[in-house]
Amino acid sequence: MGNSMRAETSGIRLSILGVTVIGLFAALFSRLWFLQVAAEPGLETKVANTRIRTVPLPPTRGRILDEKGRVLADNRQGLSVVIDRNGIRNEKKRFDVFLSLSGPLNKTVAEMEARYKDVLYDPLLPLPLADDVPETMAIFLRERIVGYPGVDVVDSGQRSYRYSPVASAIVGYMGKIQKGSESTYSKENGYAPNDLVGIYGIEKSFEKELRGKPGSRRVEIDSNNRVVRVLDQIDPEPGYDVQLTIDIKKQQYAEQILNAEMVKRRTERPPGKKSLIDGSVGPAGPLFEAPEGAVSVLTTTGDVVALASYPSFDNRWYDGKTDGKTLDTLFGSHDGIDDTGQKVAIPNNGAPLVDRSISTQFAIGSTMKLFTSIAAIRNGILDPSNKFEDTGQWTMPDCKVGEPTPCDLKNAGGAVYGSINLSDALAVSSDQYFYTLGASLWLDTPVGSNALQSELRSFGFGSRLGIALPGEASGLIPDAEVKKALAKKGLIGKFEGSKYFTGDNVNLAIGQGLLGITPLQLANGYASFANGGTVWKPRIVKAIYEAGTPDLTFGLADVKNAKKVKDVEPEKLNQVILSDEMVEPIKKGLRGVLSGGTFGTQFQPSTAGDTFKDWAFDEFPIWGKTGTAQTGDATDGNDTSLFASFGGPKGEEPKYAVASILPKAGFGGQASAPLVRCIWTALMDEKNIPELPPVAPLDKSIVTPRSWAIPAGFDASCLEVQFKVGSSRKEH
Amino acid sequence: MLLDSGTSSSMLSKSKSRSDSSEPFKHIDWVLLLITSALAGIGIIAGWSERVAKGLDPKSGINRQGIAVAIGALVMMAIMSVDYRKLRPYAIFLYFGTASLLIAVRLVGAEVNGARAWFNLGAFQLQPSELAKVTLVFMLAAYCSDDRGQKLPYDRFIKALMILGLPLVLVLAQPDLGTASTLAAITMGVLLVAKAPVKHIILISVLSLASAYVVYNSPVLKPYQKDRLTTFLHPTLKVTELKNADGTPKLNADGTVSKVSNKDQIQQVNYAKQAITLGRATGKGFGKGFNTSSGDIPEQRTDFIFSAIAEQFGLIGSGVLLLLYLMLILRCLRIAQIAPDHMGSLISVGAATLLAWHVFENVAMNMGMMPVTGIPLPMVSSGGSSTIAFIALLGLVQNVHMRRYSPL
Repeated sequence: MGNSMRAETSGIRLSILGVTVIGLFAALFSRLWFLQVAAEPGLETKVANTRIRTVPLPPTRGRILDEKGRVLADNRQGLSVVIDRNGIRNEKKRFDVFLSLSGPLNKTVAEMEARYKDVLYDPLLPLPLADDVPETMAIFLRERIVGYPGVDVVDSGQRSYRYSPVASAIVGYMGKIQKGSESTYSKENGYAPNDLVGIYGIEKSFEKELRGKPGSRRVEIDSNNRVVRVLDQIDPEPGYDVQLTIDIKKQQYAEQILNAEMVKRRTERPPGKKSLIDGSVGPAGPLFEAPEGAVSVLTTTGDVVALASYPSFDNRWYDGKTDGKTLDTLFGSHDGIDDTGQKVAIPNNGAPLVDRSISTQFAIGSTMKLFTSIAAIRNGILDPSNKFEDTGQWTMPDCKVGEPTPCDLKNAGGAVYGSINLSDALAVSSDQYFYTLGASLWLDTPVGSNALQSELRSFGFGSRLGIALPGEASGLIPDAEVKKALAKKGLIGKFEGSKYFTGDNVNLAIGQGLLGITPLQLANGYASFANGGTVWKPRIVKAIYEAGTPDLTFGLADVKNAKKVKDVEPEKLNQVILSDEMVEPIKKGLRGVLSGGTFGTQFQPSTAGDTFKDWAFDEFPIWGKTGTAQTGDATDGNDTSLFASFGGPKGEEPKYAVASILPKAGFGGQASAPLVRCIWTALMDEKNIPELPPVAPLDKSIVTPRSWAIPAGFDASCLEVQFKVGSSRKEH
Repeated sequence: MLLDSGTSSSMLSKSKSRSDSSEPFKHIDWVLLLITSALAGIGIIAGWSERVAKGLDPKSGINRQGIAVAIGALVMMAIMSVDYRKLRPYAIFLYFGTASLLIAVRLVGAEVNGARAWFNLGAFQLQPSELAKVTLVFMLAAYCSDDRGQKLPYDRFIKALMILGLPLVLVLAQPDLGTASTLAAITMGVLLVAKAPVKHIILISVLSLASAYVVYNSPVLKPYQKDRLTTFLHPTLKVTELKNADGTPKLNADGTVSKVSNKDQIQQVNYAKQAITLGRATGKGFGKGFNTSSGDIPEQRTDFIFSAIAEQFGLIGSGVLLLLYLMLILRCLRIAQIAPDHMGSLISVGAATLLAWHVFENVAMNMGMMPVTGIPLPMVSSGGSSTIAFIALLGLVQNVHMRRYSPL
C-alpha cells in the first residue's frame, strides 16, 4: 500500500478535483433552477410560443339572397370523416388504417396518403379524409367507430345552393385559391392556404363582404398535439348577407324558357328561297344549330331582374373537389353540325361556364336602328316626319368598287316599302332607310366627330357597364382606330383595316359588321331609352345585411327585419338627352314592330306582328325591335336572332327592358321575339310563373349528363307562333 | 482467479473481518452499483418515454438501450471478476488495439453526418472513440501510477502526454472535437492526481489553451466548424458555402452550391431550452413532453435526452438525475481515496473525470451554456457503444473497490 505522503498529496489533489466537480454541478443546478423555476415571464412567453398554437376559426360565410329574400346560397352542416394524426404517424400503420378505410370511404389508399402529405392541411388539426360524406356513410362509420381507431365523423360547414342550377352563373361558386390570386387571399388577409374562396359570380365579386373575419383560438397542446386547454379565443365575425336584385322565380323562368326555345329551334329549318323567276320555293336549309343564347331582363332603373345564358351549368358541382372528368360528363354534349354539314356531338355543350349574358358580344342587327335614329336626329340629318321613298335598292355614295362593303345594296329579302317615315322604317325594318342614315352620319357630319360611335358610347356600349359580376365583356364599337388595331392583330384584312369606309358606317347603322354588344348592354341601352335617357350601371346587388337575419320560412330570409349594413345605391353612368322629337316617332315605330298595321303607303307586315298579335297593349304596353345579324357566310342558318324591348304595366313609365340574342337560330322575329314575348307574359303577371321550391342537397354520387330537354310540366306553349306567309320576315 | 480466491476464502478462514481479502465480491460497492443501475434504468425509461410520446407501442420493436445495458452488465461482470492489477500488463495492448480501431474506422467506417466514427456491425454500430475513453483511463492509470509516492517525473509527464496524443489526433481527424476534449480532460484529471508537478500542469494548461487558440484561428478548422463552437455564445444564423480543395464551390448532386448552416444547432438548443423551461418544477409527466414527440429536436434520444427528461419530470426529476451523477462521481473520487494502490486510485480518478466532463458538457449544452458536441449523457443517452463503455468503466472502478483488501 502507499505511504502516508502519497495519500496526503493525493488527498489534497483529489479534494481539488472533488471541489471542481461540485463547482461544475453547482453551475448546472443553478442554471437548471433558473430555467425551470426562476425564468422571467418574458422568457417563458417567448419559449411557450412554439407550444401554444393558434388554430384559425373560419368565419361563417354570408348568404346570398334574392330580391324577395329567398336564400340562394346558404351554409349547411355537412359531415366529414377525419382521422387523428397521431395514430397514423407510423407509415405501416397508416397504410393499414387507410386500407381498411378505403372501402367504406370509397377512396384509394394513394388518395388518402396524398392528403396526409398535403401541406394544405393543418398538421395540428385532424386530417380530413373525406368531405361532405353522405349520411349513410357517416352512420356506417359511426356504428363501427371502434374498428377504426382515431376516425371521427364531424360536422363541417358546406356551401349550399338551394335553387341551383338556377342562377348558377350569377351566384357563382367557390373553389381553392387559384394560382395568381395567392396575394389577394394571403395569410395577412385572413386566409389559410386550404380555404375555399369565391371564384365565380357573386361569390367572387362579393368575396370580401361574404367572407367575414376569421377568428383564432390559441390552444396549449401536449406532446401528442392534442389540445390541453384553450388559452383565449377571438370569435370569427360572420360575413354579411348579400341581397341581389334578381328574382329567382323570374330568373328560373328566363332560364327555362331560353332552354326550351333553344331546344325548339333545333327542330326547325330556315325556309327555302323563293325563286325570283317562277316563285317556287327551294328546299329548306339544314336544321338550326342554335348552340347558345342569352336573355337579359333589367328594370329601366338598371336593376338586373334576370340574366339567362345557355348552355348553363350547375354550381353545386363546383365544391373544389369535383374532377374535370366528372364535369365533362355533367355538361354532356349536344348535337351540332360540323363544317361539312355533318351532325356531330358538341362536347361540353359548348362552354357552359361562359355567361353569355355579360361575357359574349354580338352584332346586334336591326335592334341597332333605335340608336341610329337617335344619332341621325341629334345630328340634324333626319326629320322623323319626312317621307322617304324606299325602292328596295340603294347605291352607296362615296363608294369605290372593291371596298369591303358592296356599293349596291338591297333591303333584306329584297323587300320594297315605298314611301315611309322613321316610324314606318323601324316597324318594317327598312334597310335602305338606315343605309342612307348610316352614310349620312359618316359623310354629312364633321370629320372626326364619329357621330354614330359617340351616340353608341353615350348609351354605354363599347365599354364595361360595371355590373358586379366577374367576366363582363366591354363590347366593341368599330371606328378607324379600332379597325387599325384589329388589322395589326391580323383579325381583319390589311386593306379592310386601312381606313374606316363609308360602308362601315352603313353596316354599323344596321348593326352589322364589327360591332359587338353584350345582351346586358343591349337591354341596358333600351332601358336607357325607355327611362328618358338615364344610363344606369346595371345593379345586381341591392343591399348588404348583417349576419343573423332569421328565416320567415325555410329558405326565405326576413329581409324586412334584417339589420342593413348598406344599400347599394344605383349608379348613373350617363345622361343622354332625348327630345320628344326623337322619342315619339321611335316609340311609334317600335310599337308598330309588335302591333303590326299599315306603314307608309301600303300595308306591310311588321317584323314581329304575328308574334305579338294578341298582346294587350292597352293593359301592358310594350315596345320592341327585332334584329337579324349575319355572321360567317350569309346563309339563313347562320343568322343571329335578336329582340330588344321595353315596357311595363299601363299608366307607369316603362318598367322593364328585355333583350335576347340567339346565334344561329333564325330571324329576329322567329326565335328571339317569341322568347321575349314569353318573358313579357311572365313579367306581366307573376302567376304565370310556377312556384320554385328550394331543392334538397345534390346527391353527388350520381353523375349523369345534364339533360336539356324541356322539363315535364313546364309550359312552353307561349313559344308557339303561327306565322303568316311573308310575316316575321328577315330583316337586318 | 475468482475460483482461487473464493475457495481459499471459504476453506481457510471464516473470518468475520471486513478485511477478508479472499472474498472481493463481498466488497462490492453497493452505492456505486445502485447508482449505476439507476442511471442505466433511467436511460431505458427515457428511450421508452419517447416511444410513448410519439404514440408508438412501447412494447413493440427492439429496446436497443435495454440490450446495450444487458451487454454492459455482462462486460462489467467479466471485468469485475479479474483483479485489475493483473490486467496492468495488457494495458499497452488494449491501448494500441483501440488506436488500431480508430485508424480502421477512418478507412472502413460508415460515414454519418460527415464524420467517419462508426463501424457498421449489422444491427449494432461500434463507435471506437467511446472505447478509446475507457482504454485511455486504464492506460494512463497503468503508466502514471507510482506506489512509491514520488512526484511524476518530467519524462513520464511528457510520455503521458504522448499517450494522450495518439488517440487525440485520431479522434480529431474524424473530426470529433467532443471526444477529443474528453480525452484531454481525462488526462488532466489523471495527471493531477498522479502528482504531476503543479508547474507542469500550469504549463500544459497554458500550452493547450494557446494551441487551441492557434488551431481555432488556423485553416485546420473549417469556418462552419468554428461556427458550431461559438454558436452557443452568439446564437445567430450563419450560412457557409462549402468549397472544394481548389477553392471552387462544392456542388450538390443537383448542381446547387453545397451549404452548411448552424440553423439546426440553434434550433436544437432553442428547443432543448424550451423543453427544459416548460418542465417547470414538477414536469409534465411521463411521455407528455411536447418536444419529446414533436421531432423538433434531432438527436433527441442521444445528445438532448436531458431536455426531454427535464420537460417530463421537471426540476425534481432532472435535479435527482444530476444528483445521481454527482454522487456517482464523488463516489468514484472516494474510491480513488481508498484504493488499494495508486493505479486503482488513478483508474477511479480517470473515471470520475470522464463522467464529470461528460455530464457537465452534455447538460450545459442542453441549457445553452456550452457548444453542441456529440457528447452523450453517460448511460442515459441512447447509444450502445457509449453505454457499454461507461458500464464497463464503472465495472473497472468497482473492481478497484472490491479489491481494496485483496493482496495481489
